[in-house]
Amino acid sequence: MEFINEKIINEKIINEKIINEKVTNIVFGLFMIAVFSQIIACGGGGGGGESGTSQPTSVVPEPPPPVLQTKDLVAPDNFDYETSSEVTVDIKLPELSGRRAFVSLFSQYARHENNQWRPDFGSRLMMEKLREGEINRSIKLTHDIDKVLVQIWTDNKNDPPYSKEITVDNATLFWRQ
Amino acid sequence: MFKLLGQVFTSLFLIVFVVWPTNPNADPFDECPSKAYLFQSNNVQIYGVNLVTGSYTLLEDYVGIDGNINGVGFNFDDRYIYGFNTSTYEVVQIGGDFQATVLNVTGLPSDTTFYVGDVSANYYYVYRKNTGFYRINLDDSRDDYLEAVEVVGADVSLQLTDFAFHPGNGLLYAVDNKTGMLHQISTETGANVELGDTGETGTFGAGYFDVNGYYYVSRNSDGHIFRIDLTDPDSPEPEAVLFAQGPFSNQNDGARCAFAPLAIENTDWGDAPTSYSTLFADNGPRHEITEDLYLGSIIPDGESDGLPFAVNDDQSNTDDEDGIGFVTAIEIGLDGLVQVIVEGEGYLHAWIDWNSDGSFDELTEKFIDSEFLTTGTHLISYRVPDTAIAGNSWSRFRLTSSEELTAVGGAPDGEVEDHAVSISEPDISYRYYPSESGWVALAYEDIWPGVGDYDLNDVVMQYRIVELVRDGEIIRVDLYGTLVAMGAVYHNGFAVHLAGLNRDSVDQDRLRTLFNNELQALNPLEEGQSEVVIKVSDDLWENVDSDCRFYRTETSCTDEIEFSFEISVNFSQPPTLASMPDAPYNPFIFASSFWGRGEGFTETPGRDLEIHLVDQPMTDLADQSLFGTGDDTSDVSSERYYKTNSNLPWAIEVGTDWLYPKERVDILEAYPMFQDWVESGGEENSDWYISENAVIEKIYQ
Repeated sequence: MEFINEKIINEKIINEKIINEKVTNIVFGLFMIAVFSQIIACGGGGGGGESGTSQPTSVVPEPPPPVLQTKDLVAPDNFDYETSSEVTVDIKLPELSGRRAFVSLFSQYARHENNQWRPDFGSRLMMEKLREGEINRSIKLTHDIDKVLVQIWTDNKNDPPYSKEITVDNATLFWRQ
Repeated sequence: MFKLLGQVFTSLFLIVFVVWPTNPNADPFDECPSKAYLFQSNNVQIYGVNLVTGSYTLLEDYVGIDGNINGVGFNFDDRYIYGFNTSTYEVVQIGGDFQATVLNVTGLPSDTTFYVGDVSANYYYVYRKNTGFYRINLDDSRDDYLEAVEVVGADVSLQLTDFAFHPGNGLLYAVDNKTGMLHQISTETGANVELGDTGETGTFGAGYFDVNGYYYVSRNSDGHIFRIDLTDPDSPEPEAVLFAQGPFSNQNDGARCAFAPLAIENTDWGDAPTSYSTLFADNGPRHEITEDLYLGSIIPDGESDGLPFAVNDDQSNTDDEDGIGFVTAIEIGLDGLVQVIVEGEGYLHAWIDWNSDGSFDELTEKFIDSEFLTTGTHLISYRVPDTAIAGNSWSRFRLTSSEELTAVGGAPDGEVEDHAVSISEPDISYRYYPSESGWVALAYEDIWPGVGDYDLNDVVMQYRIVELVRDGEIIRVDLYGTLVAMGAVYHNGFAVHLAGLNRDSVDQDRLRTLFNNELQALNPLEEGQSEVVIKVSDDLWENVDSDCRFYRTETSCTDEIEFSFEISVNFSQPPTLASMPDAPYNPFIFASSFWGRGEGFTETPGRDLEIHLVDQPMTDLADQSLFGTGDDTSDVSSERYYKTNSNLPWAIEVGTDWLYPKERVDILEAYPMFQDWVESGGEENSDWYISENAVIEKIYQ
């Protein structure tokens, strides 16, 4: 909400609640100014007791440096504020051609003592069945993701998954054999 | 009512026992204990039983005298347990140190043993079929102290192995082992009233009450603890519901202070929607947390109850739901694989709600039945039934030392994990944005077309998209959201526009809307639009019940998250991948009708006023004449939307669930790296929003 520019209160607005709250904000603002002034006024007189003197000083407090606010920023004209980018997942494992196998990508995972990858299944980015051992699929990745774990499971419970960690440094996540 | 009664009794209890004279024998119990005491074996051993989970521990392996002690009951008035030594035919008193003292009781038939007993109002009652029903005075200030008096005319035909006093009405209750009928017994006359069939038979060696009036009976043969609802004794519900898996023995008897509530501690709960019996009130699944048996890599965290709805187990505490992963799609009619990580040795039980009716059917939906697993990672194969229904549903996994388990009730160890699942026709691909259970945050300033204060919390919506792809077409989109903050006095609605998709492409008959996991009878496809617009809410303030002026942006407002949605959009004319808009599509807020909008508006703009992400277009229902007013520099002809003349936004999307700024705190104060990100046009600090980059005291949490 905007609390700086409170000057317009339109009486035609149906919602009196809004108006009341605006008025409250103004009153609150005035109150805070009063309180703040009091704090500044008190600030000069309190401390120091060592000299025992109470000579008035004529020091004018330095104005605080201007605080940069978002409204003061200027963004480039074409900035779209997107928080994610499209990448293409390009995988080909010929040995899995003809097998029923599923590819999953994960953004969060760990590697355990036995070198086994343990994905956080909640971080899965996509799941797709391989077609003739390959897929080519575009997905969007948020900008906090810099690496992904690719795992491929067949439908044979005795097969361990194929796993590969890939760094996200260009528009394609590439794994071909 | 009984809860209140219990509190009164507890208070009285505290007052009374401060001044009560101590017994010359062993000291009494210090308190009215929550645990149930189970007496087993010959010589007797005493176990403490947690009725919530069925877990038990040996408390005493020798009570100081030989023999089996049975017919035990806790005397609220002096805090001793009384029982009958079935080996020596003597009444005994047991103190807080679990040591027994023989009492010189007169008036009982000689050479006769009693297995059924309980205590109420300083009288110990014992019963034996075809022998008699006796009352023994335990109050040493009365003349007939320790004298047994037969209740003349009592019905002694019932086949009982224990009975227990209801804390509310002081009457005895028991289950006939042979018939399974629940009986209410008068202590005055010994007459009994048959209340109905419990549905269970067997030797119910131990019975206990809690302060709310639930009656628990433990079956010797299998250790099953059943619960019978006598919370309103005038309207008893005799059905015995399997409540927990406890210890079994051929010699069982139980005692408990009936004025104590059940204590829930160190317990793991599920978090599926409430229809799956997740809460304790619905006998939801729960496991006593043990360090030697659990799913995944992390010992589960304890909760006081099930956590259905948006505030699920992982959002409340540590991310302990890490033991289960569906590694293949759940395709109707085909086999699937699920990965299970186990620590310890136990039996896995699992259910999937194949028909998405909101419950787990024990006969048709238990797909892993008591599979013994040891420490390690396992792949388990299962068949998806042909009758499964495509769509979003739920699964439940329970690991415990017990070979028998249902989808509800207590277990003495292990863990429960509930996971959302998607059941699909074969050959479906899934794209998750940002991930299967992650969120992006949509953050809005709502004073458009004026510049706001850039706390970017007037509306904060967590948001997720799941797309189902088949043969290069999107056949279904699932939109998820959770409203996490409204630092706004203005009232805003929320909707998602799928730009470029014709409204007619949606299969309206198959639209499915859930609010807080409850199915809604509404059509979210907004009228009057030429393209697909899914309207979630006309006024988000109507979706929360909060007294806060600003919802979850000031630290003084500690309200919980209250609103989540899940909307499935099936397409009758599926768009191709090329024609589908990119995630996050075009989510926007709009002014709610009838509510004022402050400066610049002589009338409430209502639905005419929309606020979108940068360069996302307004919909058909927005008033384009508002473009270019105030601080806005939108220009339809150049497809420039919702920017100031400094190219600043009114809304941003953030790549995680995001810790947003407190009320009136400029985002620059909360996330200093935001500056370089904006000024560089996104080239620098692209992860400015992660929690490591936040100024902690400036964000709401």
